[in-house]
Amino acid sequence: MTEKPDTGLNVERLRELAGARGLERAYALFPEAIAAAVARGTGSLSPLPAEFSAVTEPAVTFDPAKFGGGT
Amino acid sequence: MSDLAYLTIAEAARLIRARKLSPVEFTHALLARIAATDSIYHAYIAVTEDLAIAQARAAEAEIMRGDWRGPMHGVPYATKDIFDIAGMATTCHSKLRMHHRAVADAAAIVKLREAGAVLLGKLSLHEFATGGPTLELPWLAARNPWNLDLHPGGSSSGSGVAVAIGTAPGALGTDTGGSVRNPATCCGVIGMKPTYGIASRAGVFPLAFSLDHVGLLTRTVEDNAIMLQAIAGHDPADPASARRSPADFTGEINAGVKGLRIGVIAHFYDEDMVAAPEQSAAIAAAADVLRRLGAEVNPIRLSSLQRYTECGRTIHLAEAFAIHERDLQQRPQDYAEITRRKLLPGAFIPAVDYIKAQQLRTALCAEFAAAMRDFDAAITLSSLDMPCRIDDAETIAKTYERQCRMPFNVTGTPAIAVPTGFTAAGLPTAMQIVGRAFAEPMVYRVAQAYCEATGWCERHPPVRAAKREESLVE
Repeated sequence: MTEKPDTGLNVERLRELAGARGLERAYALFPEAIAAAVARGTGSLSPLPAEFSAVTEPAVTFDPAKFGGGT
Repeated sequence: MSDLAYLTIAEAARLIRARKLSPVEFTHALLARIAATDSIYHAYIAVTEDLAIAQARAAEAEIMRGDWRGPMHGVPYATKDIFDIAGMATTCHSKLRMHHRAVADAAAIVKLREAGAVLLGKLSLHEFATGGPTLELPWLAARNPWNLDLHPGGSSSGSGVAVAIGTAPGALGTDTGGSVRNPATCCGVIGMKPTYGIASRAGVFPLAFSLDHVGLLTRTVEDNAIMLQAIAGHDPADPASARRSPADFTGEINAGVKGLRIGVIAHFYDEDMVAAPEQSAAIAAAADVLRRLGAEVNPIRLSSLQRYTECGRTIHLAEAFAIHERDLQQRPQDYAEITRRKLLPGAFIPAVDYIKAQQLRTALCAEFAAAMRDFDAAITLSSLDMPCRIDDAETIAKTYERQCRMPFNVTGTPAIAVPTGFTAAGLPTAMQIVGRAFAEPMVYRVAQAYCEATGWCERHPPVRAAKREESLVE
């Protein structure tokens, strides 16, 4: 599961993370918003219970019939 | 103020059908009220006056010929400015969309047009249905009708305000994490998020595909059911549209709650998080009302509120960023700060977290369905807190975390916000009534019984006008 947000990220690391998402401009204009977004995004989901099955089917499923591939 | 301002959809329909009320007169009265009040309340982004009058005249002519289409025929409504209307900008209350032009009407707009309804205009919202009230946007933020200094709830803020102050008897909204039920709560009106897939999202600008619902705000439960009936139904243009015929949403609405089993999801607001005392006291009183009406009311236990909210937020953030990625990369400065801060975190959510959230969602849906097997409906709070000042961005941001609405976007099941009373300061409190998937008739039935018994829906805010309405009527 995701680790807790790394609040010790330095400027260079934040710039790299923003760059990897194509957000260089957003980082240049709003570095604090990017730092907050990294903290929030990487800390989005806390650990699930141990009994939670890793093979649970996700709620969003792909239906090929909707793309004309079947009936 | 006009006598027609607080006419309900059901009353108007009866009068229009009996030719005792002219749709043109009704429309003119509401247009005049909008003109008189909107410089104070800022509910409308665009008023479609010419279209409204043309639609009202057409409806009137048809009805005079004896061709009555149904209870929305000749009845005005307004829509959150996130639904496409051909030839108009779907602004989403954003600078980024000021020059957009829709090429076709959204499915819900088409359905209402076919039902003969009269479109009054497009309503303000939080930017892209996710931002918040701010002065950075091209249009002012809607104001709370019970206290202009307070937040009216969002994101369908204009929808809640317009309905509460009598400038529209009903309005379309959208709800991804509570955006219909929050303004309904803050404005003291009815707000319904129906089952995912009942009402088509085609032509609605998305926020998060798998959580987005089209919803309705009205002043009465019956009006809400009437509007949902008009827009419900399968639509092949919406990949998530349910392949089933809509139920009859009004048929059993007056059947009462005697003998029904109603759960109370109290741990959401007295254990997982602790609600403001006014909200807690009001829902406790509401449970007593339901008992007095003959319902069997017992606690119901689910996973924690935080678990549901975290699941929904992870999905919400990831899907919303996918939609806004290009604009956030190329023109981030064109978003309001509050919107940027809500959208950017999605860039950094690991794919595995999104998948795990969707897996968790499966488990939570199964849990909710299993818990509801022993209940006909359940109640829980909507907002945990009372509305804060509209200029207090920090507190507003916190209120979006302190609410019980997201669980029902995660499960996709119906949830309606209804007023539960008023505080000493004159602000409305509210609860949600929730049900099993596609159990809208039951949810409306419980809501109707409660609202009829308490009369909270009949209270209206003291509306201010900047100018006289009568002078604007033809």
